[in-house]
Amino acid sequence: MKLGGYAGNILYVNLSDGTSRKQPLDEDLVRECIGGAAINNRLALDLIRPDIDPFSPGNAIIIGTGPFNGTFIPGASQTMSVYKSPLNNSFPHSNAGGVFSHFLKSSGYDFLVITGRSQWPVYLLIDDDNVSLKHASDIWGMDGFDSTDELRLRHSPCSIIPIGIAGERLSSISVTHIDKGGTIGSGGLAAVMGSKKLKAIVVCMGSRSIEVADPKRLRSLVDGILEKITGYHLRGEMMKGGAMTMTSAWIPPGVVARNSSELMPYPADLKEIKAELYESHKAARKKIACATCPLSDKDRLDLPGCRTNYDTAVFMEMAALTYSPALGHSSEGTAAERYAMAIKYYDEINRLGLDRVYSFNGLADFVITLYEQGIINKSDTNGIALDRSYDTLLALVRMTAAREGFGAVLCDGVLSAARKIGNLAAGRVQNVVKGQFIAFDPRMSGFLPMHLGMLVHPGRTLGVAPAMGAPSYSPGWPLADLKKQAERCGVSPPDINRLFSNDSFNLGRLAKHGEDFFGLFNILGQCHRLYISRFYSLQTLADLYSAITGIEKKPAELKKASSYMWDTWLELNHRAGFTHRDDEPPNIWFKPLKSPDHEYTLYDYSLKRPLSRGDILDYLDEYYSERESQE
Amino acid sequence: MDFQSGRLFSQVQTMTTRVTKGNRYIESDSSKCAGCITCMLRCSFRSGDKFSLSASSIRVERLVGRPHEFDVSFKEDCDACLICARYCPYGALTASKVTDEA
Repeated sequence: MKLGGYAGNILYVNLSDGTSRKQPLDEDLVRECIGGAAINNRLALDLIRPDIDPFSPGNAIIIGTGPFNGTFIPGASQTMSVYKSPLNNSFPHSNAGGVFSHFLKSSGYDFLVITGRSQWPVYLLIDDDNVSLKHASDIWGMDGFDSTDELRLRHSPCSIIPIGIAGERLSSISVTHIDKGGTIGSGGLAAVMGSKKLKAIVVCMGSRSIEVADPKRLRSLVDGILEKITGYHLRGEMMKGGAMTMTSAWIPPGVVARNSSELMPYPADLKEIKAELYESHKAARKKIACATCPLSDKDRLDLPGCRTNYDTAVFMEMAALTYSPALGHSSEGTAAERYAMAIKYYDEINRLGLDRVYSFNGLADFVITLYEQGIINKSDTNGIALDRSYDTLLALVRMTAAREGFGAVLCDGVLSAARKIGNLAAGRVQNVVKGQFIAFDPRMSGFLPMHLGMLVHPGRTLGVAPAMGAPSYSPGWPLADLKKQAERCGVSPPDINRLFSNDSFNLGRLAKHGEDFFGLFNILGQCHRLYISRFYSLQTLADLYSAITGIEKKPAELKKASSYMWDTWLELNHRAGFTHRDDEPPNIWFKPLKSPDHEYTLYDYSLKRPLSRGDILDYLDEYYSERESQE
Repeated sequence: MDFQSGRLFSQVQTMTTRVTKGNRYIESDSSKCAGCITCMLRCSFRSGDKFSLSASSIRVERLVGRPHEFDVSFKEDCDACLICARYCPYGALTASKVTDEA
């Protein structure tokens, strides 16, 4: 294949017989689907039976890159994956940064498809045409970060996707990380790797090059983007504080707990606490950047008396963990000590490999609430008293990852845990859709496009894909700003007129267009975190794509390719048994969320109109109608 | 854990490497490198209009168990063209002309 921007090959690896083969990437497929998540979907439709047992050798792990990976486009770092999930039998998408996508392409491959099952622990080593399975018995049992270190010592320079203990023990709520940074595989990718006895995927820096159709045009476009980024007024502070700089304002007045029935407030001096935590974070932080990222939102955190910690991006709400009475509470310590305790928790859960955001935190609250209510007791928990303390949280993490003791009840997610505990528990599961918790309770924020995405897509959306840029995951922004974002995201003037009225907008229909724009990032291999995606418009993406590949595509054509990606994702999950009925909003959303001095109820984006279940179902109908009408 | 020192961040030692060609030099400070590999991509693209990590004259490698996370080094074929320093987002590469003091 002569197109710029592609390595030109798919690598197929069969773990059962230890064979691999390189197959040219079909140019017609590339012209139609572009790459990344879209080609991942096509491969999954062809290769994975919808009814297959996720832990059977026939389940495929599909890892893809896009035409931006391997170039110096700022933020072109993402690696995309799809597989059949053991958590809910869906086909979840996920993506993460690091340098994996660049190194895979430097070895000559755009896509990697892994099937089969090894008889003993192995890791896959890719080094140009040398593709081999190495014995991994000596690192089986290591956590994800120690495994990365060990493999880095053996094969550096390389990029690594390992699994931790949770993946080895086939926990359905396991995840993993690329290069000790970006989280990938919500929905049990690590467990699927574990079922295949695949401890890690290691790709070395290869000898192949990536050609570009129009180097001069690419240079000019990227220089323009860099000029905007370096002139960004928050960049200087973000270089010091990373993701926390951009998210410190997002911290709500408390933490939702007791099965989403109660808001447990932070201490009254939260403002001062935040300031102290932010200073502790900046002092502890060393910048880690994914490939080509000029903003470095990831963190290496050096704390006295601790091993070096890493995280994908520490948000203020994470740093304030121990101040919250909801989960992981500690009543003692300075801000620096509290910060260190919080980081230790994230390090532990990252190393062991559990999905904190969409599974573990809600699951821990669920069983602690059952204990508080007397529905379970020490005889159910193997003698452990469950409370909301830091020590209990750490104990729950460790036993869940190891599938030991009460952890054997928890390790496959909240629905499984409720079934194992019994009837009284099953009826108490709240704020869960398709087996995973809805992050960011909409009663606190108003109903945002990202909530719609979390209802529709099992395994959760591609980041905040349905959002139309930063305003749409912050409620109540003026319509003029939302329209400006819609223009940036390539919504046509007639569509803007149709979707916006004088005082409102059609959330369900607009979400479809947000998905199409942000889905492109996962097709091209581009980071869609808000602080990098803000510098890109649909026109910019189209110009970059044309400069790299030599295929002149208009913005509308690019958006259509993304729409096709979303359609095939819906098709994958429809074939796996999901229907519109599975999108039902949780009952708890229509009950008050109580705090000591306030009751939060569900409102629309403007925070002016209360929403009923019927309103949410209308949003969903509008979303599907918009997607079907533009096929 | 000892939190009494009031110092959270363990001291990172500056580790510098320098390459000189003619009257130009580039100096790397590994303690500032964030590992984005932009320098490697820029280097190879300048010399060949294509991206090749292995052909780059500068190399960024991630380390294990060291105070700094990355190591930056130059290959012998580096001609100190300065493009890596120009595009390093983190100030880990500085370029200058050789003076009597340098």
